[in-house]
Amino acid sequence: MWKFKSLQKPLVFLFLLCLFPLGAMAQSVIKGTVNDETGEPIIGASVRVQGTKVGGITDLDGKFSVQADKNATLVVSYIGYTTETVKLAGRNNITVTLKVDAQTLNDIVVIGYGVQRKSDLTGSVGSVKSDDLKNLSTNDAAAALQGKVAGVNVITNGSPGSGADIRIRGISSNSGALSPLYIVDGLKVNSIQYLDPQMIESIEVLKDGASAAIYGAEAGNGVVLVTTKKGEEGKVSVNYTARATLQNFTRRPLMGRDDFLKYMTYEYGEADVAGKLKDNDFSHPDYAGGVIDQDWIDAYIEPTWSTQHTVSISGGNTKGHFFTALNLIHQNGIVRGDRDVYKRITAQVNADYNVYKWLQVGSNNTIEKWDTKSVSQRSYGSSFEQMMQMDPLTPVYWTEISQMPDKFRTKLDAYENGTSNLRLFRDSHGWFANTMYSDMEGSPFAKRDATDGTNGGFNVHGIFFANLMPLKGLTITSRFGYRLNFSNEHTYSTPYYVGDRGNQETYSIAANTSTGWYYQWENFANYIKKIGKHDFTAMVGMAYHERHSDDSRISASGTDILSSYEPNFRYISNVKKDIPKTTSNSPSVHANMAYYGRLTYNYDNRYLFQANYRADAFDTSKLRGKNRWGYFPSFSAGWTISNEKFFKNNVSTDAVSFLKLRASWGRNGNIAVLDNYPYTAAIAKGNSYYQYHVDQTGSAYGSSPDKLANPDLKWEVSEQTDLGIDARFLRNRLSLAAVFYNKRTRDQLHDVNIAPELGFATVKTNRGEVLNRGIELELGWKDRIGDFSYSVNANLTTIHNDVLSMDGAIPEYKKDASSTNYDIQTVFEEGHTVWHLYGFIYEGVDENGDAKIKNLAGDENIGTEDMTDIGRTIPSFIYGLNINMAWKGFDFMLNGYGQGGNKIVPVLHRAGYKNGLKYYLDNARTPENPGGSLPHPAKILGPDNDFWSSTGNVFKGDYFRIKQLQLGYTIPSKITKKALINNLRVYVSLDDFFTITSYPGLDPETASSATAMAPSAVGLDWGSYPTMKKMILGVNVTF
Amino acid sequence: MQNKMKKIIIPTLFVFALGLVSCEDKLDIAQKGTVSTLNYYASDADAEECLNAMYANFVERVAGSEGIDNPEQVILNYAADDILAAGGHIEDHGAFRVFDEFTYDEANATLKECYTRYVTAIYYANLVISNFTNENHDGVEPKFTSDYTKQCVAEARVMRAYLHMMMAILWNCPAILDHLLQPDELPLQAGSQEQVLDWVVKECETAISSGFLPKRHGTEDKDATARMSVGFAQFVAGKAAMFANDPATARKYLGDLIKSGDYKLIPTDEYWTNFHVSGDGNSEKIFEPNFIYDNSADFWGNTWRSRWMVANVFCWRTDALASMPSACAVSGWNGGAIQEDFAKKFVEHDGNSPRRRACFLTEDEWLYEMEWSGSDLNDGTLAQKKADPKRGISSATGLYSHGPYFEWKHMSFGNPPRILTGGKVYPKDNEPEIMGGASNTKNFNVARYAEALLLYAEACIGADEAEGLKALNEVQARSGSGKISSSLTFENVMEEKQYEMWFENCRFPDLIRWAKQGKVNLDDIFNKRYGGIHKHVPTVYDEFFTEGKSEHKLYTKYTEAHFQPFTEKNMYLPLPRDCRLANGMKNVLGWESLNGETEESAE
Repeated sequence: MWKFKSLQKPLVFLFLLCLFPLGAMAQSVIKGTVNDETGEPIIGASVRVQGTKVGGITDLDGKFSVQADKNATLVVSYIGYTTETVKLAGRNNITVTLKVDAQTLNDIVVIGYGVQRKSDLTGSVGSVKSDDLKNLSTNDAAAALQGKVAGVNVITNGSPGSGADIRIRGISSNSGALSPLYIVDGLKVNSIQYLDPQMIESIEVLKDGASAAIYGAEAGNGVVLVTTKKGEEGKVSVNYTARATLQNFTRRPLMGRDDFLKYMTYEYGEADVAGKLKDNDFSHPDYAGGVIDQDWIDAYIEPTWSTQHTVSISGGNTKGHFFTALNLIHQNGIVRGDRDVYKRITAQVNADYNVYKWLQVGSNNTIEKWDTKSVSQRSYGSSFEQMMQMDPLTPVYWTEISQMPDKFRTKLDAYENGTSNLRLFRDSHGWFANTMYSDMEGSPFAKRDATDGTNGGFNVHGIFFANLMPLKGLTITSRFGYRLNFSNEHTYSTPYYVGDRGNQETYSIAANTSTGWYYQWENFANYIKKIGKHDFTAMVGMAYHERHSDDSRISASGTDILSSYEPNFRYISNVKKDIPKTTSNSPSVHANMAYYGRLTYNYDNRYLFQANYRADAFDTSKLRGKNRWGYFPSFSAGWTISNEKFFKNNVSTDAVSFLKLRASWGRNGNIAVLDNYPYTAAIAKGNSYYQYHVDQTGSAYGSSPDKLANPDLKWEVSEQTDLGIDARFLRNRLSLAAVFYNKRTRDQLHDVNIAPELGFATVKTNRGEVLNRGIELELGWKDRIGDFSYSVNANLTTIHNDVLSMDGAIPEYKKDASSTNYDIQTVFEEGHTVWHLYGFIYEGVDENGDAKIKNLAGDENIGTEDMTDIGRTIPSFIYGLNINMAWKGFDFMLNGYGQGGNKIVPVLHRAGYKNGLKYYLDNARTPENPGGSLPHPAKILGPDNDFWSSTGNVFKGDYFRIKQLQLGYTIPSKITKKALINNLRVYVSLDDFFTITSYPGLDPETASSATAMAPSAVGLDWGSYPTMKKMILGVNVTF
Repeated sequence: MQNKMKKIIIPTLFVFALGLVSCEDKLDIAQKGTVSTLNYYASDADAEECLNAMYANFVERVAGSEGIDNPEQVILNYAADDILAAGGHIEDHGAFRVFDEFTYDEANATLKECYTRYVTAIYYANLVISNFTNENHDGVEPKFTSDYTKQCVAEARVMRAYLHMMMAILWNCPAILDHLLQPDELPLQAGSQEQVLDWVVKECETAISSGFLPKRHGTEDKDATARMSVGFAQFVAGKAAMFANDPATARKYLGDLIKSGDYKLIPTDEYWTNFHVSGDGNSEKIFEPNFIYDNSADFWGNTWRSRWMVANVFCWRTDALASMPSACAVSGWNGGAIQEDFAKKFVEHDGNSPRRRACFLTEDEWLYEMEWSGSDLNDGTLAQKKADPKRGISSATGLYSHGPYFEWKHMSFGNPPRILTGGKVYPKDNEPEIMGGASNTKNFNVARYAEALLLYAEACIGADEAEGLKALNEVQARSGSGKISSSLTFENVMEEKQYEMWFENCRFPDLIRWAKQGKVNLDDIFNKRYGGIHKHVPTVYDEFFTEGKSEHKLYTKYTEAHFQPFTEKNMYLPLPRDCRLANGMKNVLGWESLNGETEESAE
């Protein structure tokens, strides 16, 4: 057997040499040795003379020498060990013993209804602590997880105020219910967007089936547990953080004037282009030389500023703690003007108090006020789609009426004469021009301005809790959580004319009021008992949740609806009495209850066992009474080999500090797929209308069965197995976690064809099985060399995704881009990844210059029968890289996130004089470019040409993005103390600034994974709000 | 301390224990806006709602749009020999072309949509019949009956009969769905088309003889055209009998319809209004599901009923034109074109009759008599118009699958054109509040009196020829063509019907029916006549634009479409694959080879 102990010293030394040029840093006056508690020497420990810059590093034998005064104090530190301060008191040769830092080994991790030492975990729980969150510049807790935790894919959208969402270990449902369960301080919430990372103590992600099983039927997509901060014992701390962010977007993938004319000439011929130019091109004073060459991305996007302020005050003593914070955000997106804005104020008040030794009470509360305005994206006719397609020959403005084509001038005249109420949009520089070269709906600016709207509201969240400790080891918790939400949305639009396809003859006005309240009451008891080497914990509890919502909507539309159109009349109250209003209101109630429990057993910190069990019941809107209960067991076990004698005897703890093997199995459910009494058929009253009078309105209402019943319907069920290894090496400096997961989810809700003669073509049935399988790797290194400390953490997750079976259900074909005339589909089908791209196989250019499409069916034509799986839309691997460095007052941080394996199809090409990606010109096979890989543009004119829905138009969605690159400097406290400031840090950060990708469109991140879209539409790029590049200046002050 | 602890702990534990007590009854939450099927179908009010739902389903689904088309209109009309599925180019409007070019298959989405719309409409009729009579699976007596429920049943019976007739015409042997199916029950397929059609006639008779079916009260009674009536039952029975090759029965029912005096052809000059809002409910209409825009009704209800985007399809391809013709309600996509050889024949036969001009315009009418919104010369001289750059076909690629005749029979008029109105004021067809005006509020065509007269005339051949000729002459006289037949022959009736009923769901089923009776040769008609319709697809250009000439002049070039020759199997449609695999029915006549296929092998 080889002796690792004998090898380790040279290895470590070599490693250190590579990292940092070392040398003798002082004359040998004070000598000494640094050992650990077992007497083994510690190599590379930092020895510094307090109050000076003098210091050294221990050598292979743990020895050091520094030049210092005989009465000086030495500070000896090493990563993973407690720092020791030693007074020399005249000695010139000392031995210092460093103790293992229990904090590192005994990190506490929040699990459902309790906590556990990280070293005792038997499941897969990803944990991010406040230290990793404190300098992040995102204001969305979900976005803060991007790249930080293996297995966690964070989905973002660039638009201000659009919250990030999370996918844990792939996708297992054909429904839209893909988000994990979010729990904040024990309270179930719909999203964690409202939480600024600065308010958070830790975020835990329960990834494996066993850990999540304690949340039962709601845990099928994993669980995210957020713990907000509480004050620390000691002095009251006041902290202020301010941030100013300059946002921009600089990618320019579209064709400019010359390229565009070249492409159009290819498509339609010189004569056609000359004719179009002759009729429409004119000398415009806004452009150099009068030649219009408009980059519409430049026009529509401008650099903007966002600001954020956070003040927190916290403190505590042995009796209790408090934490209060106020967070203010004003984010103005990159669309020119103030139509994409997110404003938020969040206040957090957390407090706890030990009334008696055996009674602690407390409450955590969040109050959030938000407002948002947004522009349309990702859809047919959206402002971003128009930005991508508007030709560069059209100016942004008609600054003079003379520049305006006849049909617009006629409309303008009519509007100004009062004979028409169709207005043309404009700003102070001129009217927003529309193209005369094609049938575009209109300028993105007109799209931006077509509807005036506000959307905002309040959310109040919180919990009240009491911990009762009547016996040693027993804690009984009673916890009441609540959520209140109120929001109001108003929209108003007036008749307008942007073009023949973009116009509206009516006014419309709408007001929505949403109110909701929710409460949960949970009672559970934790009991801890230690008998010799046997550690037991037991937990048992119950929960009851009730959710109410009461939303009202009123709207009206017509050619003349308001008593006046002045701004102060644009409210429903001023709608004329005889104008019909559409109204809706249907309050809803949902309730569920649960019993749950957990047993853990730990023998001698070597053998770890855990069992969870939850019984969940949901109300009749989801399941019929007989089916309402679901049962979710889980089991897990761990073996800490490094605590075994035989291991300790043979392997130095310096080399292998910790080694644990673990395995788990658990069952979870996804109840969110069920809603609105899906199992039953009833008579829907008044769900249709007919008019019996030919000459007068007046509707007679009809009622009919709403569907065909399937009383056996139930939730999706996941069963997941994990095998993992956790290890730390080299005195805890190097850490490694590797997990294999295998998650099988069955009983997706699929439509099954039934005889349409039954009145319905399909019935919802639980069918099929989806597999998500992969490996999660986390590798970390942290160390300190003198004043220089650094850490590097990397993670990688692979996701093998496969619809194993549909059990006779119909494959789901979605044509999310059908309105663009693209044939491309996404399909949920047996034997493929969920929602893969379904299109043609492009085999290059044939002898006639046409796109050669593989004829899979072998018949005469190319048609839908020749479509096949042409790529997955969800990534097959994701990875993160986090680097932190600190030297004296400087700190540096790099966070990166990447993904790959997914494919994107841009669905932005259109027939006619519309712009597109320059890629299509650069790669077209033309006389100038005979080696081009794409057909000649004339051969693929319309978006319904098979080429556009083929592998010829499929791009890799791979990218690596440096999410944050931050450099900070903490001003020495001896300076700041004079101003009563404990800590003053300033920083500059570049967020989302650098991206490595081959994707030729706007942004691979939001193109392929934007939130607020159907999961089936992922992979189709319509023109999404891109991730903004951000340059941030920030300051953080602690008093 | 101990005491205090007890005082607090005991109640706390009590509360905790209370929490563990089941509150499961709180999970029973009643569904809003619904009632249980067990308590329903028990009053006149329930019967009325049930009947309303039947009509609502029909007007929104069978008569409404799906995507950019109405499935029934596409399938019945594009397969005819006098209409071409047009579009921007050869690949455009593929969903229409497959029926035009006989390349559809059993997986066709329009086909499935049409089938499911019909059987769902039958299901709605059966909800009335099976719940208010004992005509249900188990022969259970209804919870409630009254004279009113009997009226509802009579109406549902006629609706169900009409839908079965349409299905027999299209699929030859559909199932006879004479009661509401149980969830585990499969439909029973008819043994022959005649069996279905005979059943249809019997059902109509049952409804008529019940005495409860509403009757039209004179030619001015518009509302009677919006629901099932004795007149419509007679029409359906007569038409079904003609398709069952039983002219005697057809004569009886159609003769009764004519004798009732409740229906009358509208005047010649107003022929065009039959296809526009102003003609809704006129004396010529027998049944048209009624639609009026109602801004208090639900958005999608208005949208589908107004046949959103069908309005675009039935307008010329306006992006290829020099400016927008004033009549158009919205920009057009040119979905259906009149076959040019037929159009030429129509012009020769009808001349400038109001009927012909209601269906389509000639080149000169289109260029110079019609108003163009971009032009300042609408009141100018002919010479000025000939050089006017704001009219004509400006696109260098022309109008594909379109000859020099410009159909507008079903166009949604934003401004009813002067050519037809003669300057009188008529309401527009579209509703600007529905989808920016891409809509048509005209009631969907189902049955009008002219078709009844022509069916009757045909039924009278060789029997009651004087009466038959009278009926034929009535249609001819009204047309304004000036042609009046002096004898009742099949050719006379066939020819008149092609003009009178062009693009009204009749031509293709009639050809199939006549072919079965040996009266026409389908191979000649579809594959040989005009040099083969699809070997001879026109594209029309305007040399004013394409060649820079000083005057407008249209010219046509020909290309070949992606087509398959018409064969025997194209007489009827295959059962939609998904439906067939679920309902276990079998195809007949040319599509039988698909029957043995299991779900796996069909993949």
